[in-house]
Amino acid sequence: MLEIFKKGTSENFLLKQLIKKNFISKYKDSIIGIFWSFLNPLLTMILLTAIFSTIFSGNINNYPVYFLTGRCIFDFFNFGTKSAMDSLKTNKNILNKVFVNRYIFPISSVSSEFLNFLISLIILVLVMFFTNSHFYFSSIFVVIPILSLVLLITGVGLILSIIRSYFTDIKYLYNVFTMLLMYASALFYPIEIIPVPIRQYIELNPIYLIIDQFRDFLMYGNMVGITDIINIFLFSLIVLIIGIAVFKKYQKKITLEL
Amino acid sequence: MSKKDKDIKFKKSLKFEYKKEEKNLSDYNFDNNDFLNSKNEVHENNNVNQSQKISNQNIKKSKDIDELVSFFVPDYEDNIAIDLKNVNLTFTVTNDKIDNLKEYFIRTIKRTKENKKQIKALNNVSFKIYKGEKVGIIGFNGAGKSTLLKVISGVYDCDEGEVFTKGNIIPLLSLGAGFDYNFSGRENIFLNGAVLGYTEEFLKEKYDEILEFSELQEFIDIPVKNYSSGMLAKLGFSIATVVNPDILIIDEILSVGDINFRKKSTDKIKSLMGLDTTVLLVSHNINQIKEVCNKAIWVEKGKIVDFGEVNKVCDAYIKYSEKLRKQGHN
Repeated sequence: MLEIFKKGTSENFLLKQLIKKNFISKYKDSIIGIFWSFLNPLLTMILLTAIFSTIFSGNINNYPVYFLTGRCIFDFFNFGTKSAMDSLKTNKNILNKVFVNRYIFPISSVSSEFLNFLISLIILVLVMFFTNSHFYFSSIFVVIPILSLVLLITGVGLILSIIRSYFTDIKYLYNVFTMLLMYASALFYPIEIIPVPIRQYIELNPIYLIIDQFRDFLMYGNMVGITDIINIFLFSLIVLIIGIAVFKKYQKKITLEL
Repeated sequence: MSKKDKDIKFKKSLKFEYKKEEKNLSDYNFDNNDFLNSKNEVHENNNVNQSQKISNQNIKKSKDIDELVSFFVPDYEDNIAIDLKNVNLTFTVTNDKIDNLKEYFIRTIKRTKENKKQIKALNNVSFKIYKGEKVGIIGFNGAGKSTLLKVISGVYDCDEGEVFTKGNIIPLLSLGAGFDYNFSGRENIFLNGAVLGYTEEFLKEKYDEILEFSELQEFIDIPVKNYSSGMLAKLGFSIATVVNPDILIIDEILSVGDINFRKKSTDKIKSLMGLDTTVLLVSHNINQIKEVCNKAIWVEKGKIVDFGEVNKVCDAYIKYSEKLRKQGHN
């Protein structure tokens, strides 16, 4: 399975080609092209800052950065899992005609969304710069929650891509799920506004935990407790392992179902 | 599973069976003469001579001589290009397929689950094809010919049994799989090449050859959505046939493009069918099969009816179809 990351192999070449294809087809026919991925979060950020920044000024001192960190992470999860979910179905004309290692499709989807995520981090840094945020040395540790996130998205994406091939309407169900997940991830509000008995359940949300760690490293320069980091990393790893197991088991029949 | 793994697994299973075979050789019967063509028979006989010294009696009773021979000659199994062992594949067909969760829940509660019908697309198919053999596959529509090709090329995984193939396979089942219509011809050469399993260096090296063969120099930088269907087929054909395959799988002889390109593509396919290339050809044109192939497989309802010398199988097939036609008239 790791062969696709080895340079020079045909799998690696296919992965690169598919990433390119995903990336280009996302912005095809649009005049400002890749700037859409800047524009959407920026506009939402401006609107939400205008509405909420005074209400939450007690808890959040830099509202634009607070929102944008959450938004970048959540968008990566949202788009990454969704495009991985559709990847087998959209490439069925390849799968039904030529033998290709099937896991390449979900992985290429996650990879191209990861590139999008990296681009959105550029805006985040720019916004941090313009709002005179302090840059901490500990900010480089954000790679740890990002790594957990990538593992989590790959695992969830692999599972969803299989389910999607059998049941079409998982797509709509999953849309509802991600919407609820967004509101439960403290993207645009401080977690403190949630009453205590409910808050402990919100804090079980892995996306919220990743966002929280990301903010701690980036915005506040805090060191997150090592157990928290290991917990979320292990959780993501387990999801990934389950994802690989599910995919391996059901991929055999997938070409007959598509 | 990569092809290498498959190879190793196959070798392991062979060795394993050898151990078994040593113990009870006398249980087997020698009955697969039909499976060997003349070339392999020569090979066979040489090896039999060798092995006769060791176990003259047992060899005649051996059920699967190939396994025995490869025990004495280490390279022998290199001669097998395609090996199918007891391959089964079942399609589940429903007249009202449940493909969404809502219906799945409702119908589970109402206990009106779909009535599934199992269709055996491949039923206990086993055969061996040796390197360099040209094999035609004949049978009526829906007999399982294309399914067989898809199992061999790896698109379908079989439910039971083992499929072993050696060397790179070029399936000319469909041209231009995975073309992106917004990409230019140039980009599609790389995309489609990657799908077919070429490496980047190989494609860069062969790019000019593909372009020249496709005759699309003027159009190569415009999106393929503006191509005519003939141009698309020409491009797909040029990409697919740029390698020298060990196994070539053809679903009907392809004739694409205009009259000149048609001639060129037929020549190209003929040149690909070199001595060492194993060819699998599905066609309804019996004359074509007799011309190209030296062996034939007759498939009917997922089962192999006959496998052997091309004229023998084809004649039997024609006789059978004529009989059916007469029955239809009566």
